[in-house]
Amino acid sequence: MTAPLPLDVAGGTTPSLVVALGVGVAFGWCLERAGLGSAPKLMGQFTLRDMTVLKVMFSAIVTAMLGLFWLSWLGVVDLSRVAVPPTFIGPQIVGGVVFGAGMALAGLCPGTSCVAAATGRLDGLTVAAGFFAGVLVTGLAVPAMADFYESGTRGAFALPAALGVTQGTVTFVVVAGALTAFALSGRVERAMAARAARVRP
Amino acid sequence: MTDTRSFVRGLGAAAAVLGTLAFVVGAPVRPPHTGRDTVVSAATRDALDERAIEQISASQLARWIRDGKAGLRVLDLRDSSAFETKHVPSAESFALTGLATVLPKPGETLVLYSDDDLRDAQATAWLAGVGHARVHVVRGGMSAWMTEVLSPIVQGDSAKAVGALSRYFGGVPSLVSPDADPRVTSGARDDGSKEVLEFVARRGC
Repeated sequence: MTAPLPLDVAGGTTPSLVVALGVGVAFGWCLERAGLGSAPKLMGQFTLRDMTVLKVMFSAIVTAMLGLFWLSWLGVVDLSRVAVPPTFIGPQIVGGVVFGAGMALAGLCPGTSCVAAATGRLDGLTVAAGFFAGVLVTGLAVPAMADFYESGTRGAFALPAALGVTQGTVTFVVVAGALTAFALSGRVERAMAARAARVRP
Repeated sequence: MTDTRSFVRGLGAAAAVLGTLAFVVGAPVRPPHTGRDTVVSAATRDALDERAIEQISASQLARWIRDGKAGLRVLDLRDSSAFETKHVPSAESFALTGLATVLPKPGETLVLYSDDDLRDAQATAWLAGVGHARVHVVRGGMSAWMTEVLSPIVQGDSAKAVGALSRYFGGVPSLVSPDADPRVTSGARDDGSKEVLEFVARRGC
């Protein structure tokens, strides 16, 4: 396949890092514009009072999924050159639990904490410092837990291979799930608001 | 407000249409129209057996090659200079960008190897995504082939079989204790893989 959209940056690591910085800043700007630099906004997702996180994240997933699928089908993007991180089942389950617990406690995830920090929010700065410390500690601990860290490797274990279905089927199911969630999220928000109004004296 | 709502609903409808078409199309790649055998029809796809993507050892690959496993195709994902230096017998050299020409065929088993986990992962995801049913990755890549097949340490009950398999491929099995030099027993692809290759090369394999 000759894909006209360049995924590699000529000139080595430094230009790539510059591009990555630009993409990161753009991503952060989008998060901030969506209101996701605010911890109370994120906590609203856990209490089902504000479904913004679900809407923003699902929109991003569906856009990327459909975009990559059809751009590849049209020969514009070469999917074999898009990085797919390898799967390590046990370590990633543990990492997911730790991540989820940390996000529920802090009200921010790594990306949104950087956004919050960049906009001068003290909680964002605190959480960002916390996760950088966590990264450092984890990095130092890796040699001691190397066996576990590299256990359960499955390579690029994406959903099509795991479920034995085509990429198109997975795309369809995710899009259908997202549209259903979008349709229901307004009702959930209204129901939770009504419930809060009843509880409030 | 009404305009925004209409716009959002329009986006939702577009996503629904594109998602449904993705389901119909199946794979994110257009099949080439260059010959009857290379087009992946729905019937061909249905005929594919269970999908399985898993890692195999270099020894397993060696046994498959020696036994003439039907439908076996071995792909070397390293750069062409590394391929020319040494490669697994019967392997074909492929860059990641060339994988689009590897089209699924009923009963085919693909085995990939390189010296880069990420490259293996990308290739596996791509090949599975376009409908390949059986894709295997050699655990440890070329380094594992060198140490497990061409220069294995043989001991115990399996010594005869391992030695015979190694000699089939022109290898030199050794009876040296694994404790003598841990480098020769390591098939893992880690920072020492280059050292392992160099060490094995110095032994004349």
